[in-house]
Amino acid sequence: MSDAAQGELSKHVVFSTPFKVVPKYEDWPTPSNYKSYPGVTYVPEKIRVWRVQDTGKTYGSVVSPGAGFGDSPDAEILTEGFNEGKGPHEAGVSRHGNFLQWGFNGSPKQMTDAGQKFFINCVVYIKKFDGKMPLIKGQTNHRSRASLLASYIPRITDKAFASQYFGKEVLAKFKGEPKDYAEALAKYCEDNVEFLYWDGGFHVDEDLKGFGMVSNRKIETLEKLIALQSDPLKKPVVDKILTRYLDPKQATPATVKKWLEENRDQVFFTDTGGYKFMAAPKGYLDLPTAAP
Amino acid sequence: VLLVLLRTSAGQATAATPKIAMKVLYASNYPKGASTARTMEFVTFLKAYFTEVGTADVEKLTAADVKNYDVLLLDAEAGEKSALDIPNITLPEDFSKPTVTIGVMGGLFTGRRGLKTGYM
Repeated sequence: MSDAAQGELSKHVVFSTPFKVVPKYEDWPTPSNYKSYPGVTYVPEKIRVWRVQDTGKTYGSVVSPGAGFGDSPDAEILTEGFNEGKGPHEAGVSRHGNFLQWGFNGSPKQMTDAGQKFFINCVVYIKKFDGKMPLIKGQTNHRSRASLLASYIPRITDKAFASQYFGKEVLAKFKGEPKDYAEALAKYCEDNVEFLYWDGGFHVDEDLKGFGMVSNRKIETLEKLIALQSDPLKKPVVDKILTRYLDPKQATPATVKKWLEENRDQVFFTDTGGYKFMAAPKGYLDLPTAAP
Repeated sequence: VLLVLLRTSAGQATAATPKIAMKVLYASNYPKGASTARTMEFVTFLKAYFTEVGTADVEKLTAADVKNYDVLLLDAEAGEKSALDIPNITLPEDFSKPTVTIGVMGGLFTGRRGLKTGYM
């Protein structure tokens, strides 16, 4: 990552409490890596940024992968980071549970005035999360990476690469060597993105598609599956699907109806946490983050 | 906390500034060798804003060291061989103190713990 945060400030309290962060915006030419990043269909010619620090280098700081931050309520991106090596929406400063990652590497004297205030605000902000450990741990690839990984296949010499990331039945849909069908595989993943799940590799949930559902990550899907449990002919497959997407520490096909009734406002679906529906503990989500 | 700041040429709050009532612990390996300057700079910076600032060696850090602080800041310099050669930090998996992780070391540390803030 370079010296700059990317994008205009949001209304998040971290930009106003206790200090008002006043960035000096600049419009920088869009890095070529953004334009060529797999899955990106449009990027402007220039990107709005603001300097957090002045190290004089275009590297040395680090971004965290932006994909997946939004799939659990314990994590957030505070600002994206302008970079010349990764994707266009990676995290420059972010939080997961009680950990806040400041991706910039500069010392205080290298920070701009806005950067210093942002840093101090981050220290003040994270104090609110005392005891609020992450709800999930990243253990699986977010679905948005499926097409990205497929596009990498022609560039990877390891012949086992494709089978490490995609299920046998997925690869069996294509003929020839993986490098020859990588583009088609990437498109297949994009077309089926709402049905992708991870179980030792990416799979497409044909069971769920068979029931006419539109996504495996919507609470409405969970509700429809629970309703289908009353059909004795469908129940075996429904329970198989529910087992796939329930965290056994929280719910099983036998208990899911009651669990959902009791936790509806806390339920979320996480790809990176294992392609599961989970419920945040009561009170966990109470902290306001928007500025008044 | 409403603060009215007087600024120094370095952009930091002056000693006359009302400070934020927080205890922060800055842990790093910078006290070693030529990197002392960074530690001193961070400590001076933090002391301008917070009522109490402690320091610790990141390689010897334990959860007990952080017990009486509000926020832990983890900062460390990579080894000479590789930017990825960072200190082994042995905080427990259930460590729940508010923590700011900084730079490459922060990304690698949180990445090893399976956090979304990990190094890409």
